[in-house]
Amino acid sequence: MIKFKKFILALTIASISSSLLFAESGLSIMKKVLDRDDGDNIIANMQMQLIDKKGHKRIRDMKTYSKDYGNDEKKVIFFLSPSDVRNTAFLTFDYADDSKDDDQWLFLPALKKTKRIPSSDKDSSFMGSDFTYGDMVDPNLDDYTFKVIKESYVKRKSGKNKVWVIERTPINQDVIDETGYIKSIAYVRQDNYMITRAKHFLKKSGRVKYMDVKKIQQIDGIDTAIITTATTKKGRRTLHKTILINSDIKMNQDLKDNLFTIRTIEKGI
Amino acid sequence: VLKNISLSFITSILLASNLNASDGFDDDGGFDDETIEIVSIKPSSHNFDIYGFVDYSINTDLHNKHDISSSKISTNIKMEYKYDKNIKFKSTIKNYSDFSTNINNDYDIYDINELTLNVKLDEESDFTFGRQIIVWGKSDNIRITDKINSLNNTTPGIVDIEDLRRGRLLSKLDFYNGNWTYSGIFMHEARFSLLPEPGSDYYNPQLFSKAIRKGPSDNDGNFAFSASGNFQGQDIVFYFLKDYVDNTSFKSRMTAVAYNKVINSFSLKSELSYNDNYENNNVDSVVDSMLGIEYNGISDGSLSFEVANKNNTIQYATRYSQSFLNQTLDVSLLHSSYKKNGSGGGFTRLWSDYAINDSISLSTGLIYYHSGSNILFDSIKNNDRFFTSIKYNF
Repeated sequence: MIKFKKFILALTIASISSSLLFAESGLSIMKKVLDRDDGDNIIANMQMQLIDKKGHKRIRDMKTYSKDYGNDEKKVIFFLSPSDVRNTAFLTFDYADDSKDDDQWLFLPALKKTKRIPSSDKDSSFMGSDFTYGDMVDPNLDDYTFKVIKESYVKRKSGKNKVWVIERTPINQDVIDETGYIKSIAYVRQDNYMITRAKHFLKKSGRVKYMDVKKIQQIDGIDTAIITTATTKKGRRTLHKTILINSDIKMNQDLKDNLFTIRTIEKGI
Repeated sequence: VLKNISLSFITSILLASNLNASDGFDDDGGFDDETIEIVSIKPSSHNFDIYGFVDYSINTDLHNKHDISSSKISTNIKMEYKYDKNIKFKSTIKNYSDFSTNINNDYDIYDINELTLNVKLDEESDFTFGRQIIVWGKSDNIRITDKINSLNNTTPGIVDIEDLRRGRLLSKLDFYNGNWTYSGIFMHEARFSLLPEPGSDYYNPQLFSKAIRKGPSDNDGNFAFSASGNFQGQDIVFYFLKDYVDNTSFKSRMTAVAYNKVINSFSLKSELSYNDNYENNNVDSVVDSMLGIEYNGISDGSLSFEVANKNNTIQYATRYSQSFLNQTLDVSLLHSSYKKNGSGGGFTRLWSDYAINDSISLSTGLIYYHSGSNILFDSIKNNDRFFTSIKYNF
């Protein structure tokens, strides 16, 4: 019995000290992830390949523009193809101030109308992909607790990267309902504070979504995600997959303020 | 040169992604190794584009021995030409051919529904001339302020949204100042709503006879103005319109406001208009109003409810839309009714759209018309029907 108590004590001490072992806390790392220089005044082409469980593929081509305003960000996305979504455009103002809801408008050419979209609608699919509207904006760190689980390596053929494996837990049910994620595991690269992989446990019937930055490229000295996949699985079975490919990325462009307006999404560029 | 650079960049990505084909994964499984193929990357801009769809639809009457009441091919061709970064041309040409009826329709078989020249005058102003569609208001289901374009009402409740509004020859001047957009619109054409024609199942001579709809003799002095403000969490628009009342020969003046605000997952919408029928002494001026709420907290779905007082009649609209299978299947239900407890009549429509792939989609649905004291719905109550269509997008 004494041996057993000693074992429990040792286990408790070990688990406490393991959380103290990491030089940085999960929150501190995640703040650095958000504060990382990810470029400004960016123009890019974006392609989404939507692949269903039978391997049937649908393609969405887009052009994106984004600009930082201090810690706020404005972004506009134009859909180029296929033809039934052509000229659809999405405008979003992502506010750093957590007390302000983001502004989002969607121009629907078939309706000839711009609709304001509630920004709390974060768990809906972004244009049929495995990415949600919530995945397209920075998370509110106050909505989560972060815990460094361990340090590890993500190994790829191009090399291996040391990462922190961080568990992200929503602070309440409202956050779960809003984002659709019960819990997430993020793999943050220690050399550049990029999330290279993430595993999201979905509220929906035991599904898990795997997000993986497959290719990173330095553009104007900034590490930039070129190919990212999001795969929704139930057990080992793939339900749907999205491959997001960025190309023709140009940073530090002279993007005027009036690009990020309803005028632009309605008239096109 | 840019295209060549772009091509070499794409090639380099392609090569690089093939090199990544056998990536490993860390000690937590579930992440896949795969070959990523870049299918196509569109050039960043085109000067000329042509696209659109061909649609074949069948409507089956659920009464009247399940007759096919419509068997129609529609073509919708859109063209866009960008002369330079400030000058653009756009057009939408439509064609309808109905094989099943002997409708004596005098509406356009070939219809240039939109043909516009858009000129960016400077950083603060645009000018658009041509046949165009301008949608006013915040409501999705009940039209209070959305009066500039008339509608295709030949098959009430069934017309596809892309075919619903009729373009109109207009000049439009837009000024942009901060959060506000000011638009002045001058009408050069009176184009009224299409109604069921003799031969159509929906035709009722008491309601739709040409003898009782009068066109305008001229189109002098019709104009509109709007001031639209977009702010954090809310939008507001003020309207003024002097124009013909649809399918009549007299004019009305409308002064209106529309407002919407987002609170969490809810979008609140409201519209209020004062309609001064100053050219028709037999019709009193009327105040129309609409209140609506849309809930977007449903994953991949939305639920909305609107109630309006339009032409002194209460009108309700409830809509539920839900997407499935990563938005390849959309299912919607719309119930619209008039007067308290629906005693005026109305309709219920249930339909689905399924995208087989990026080019081909199938639509199918049912519409039930509810009879009531409203003469329109009493007249068309026996036109419940099943409708289906296949669309090829190109």
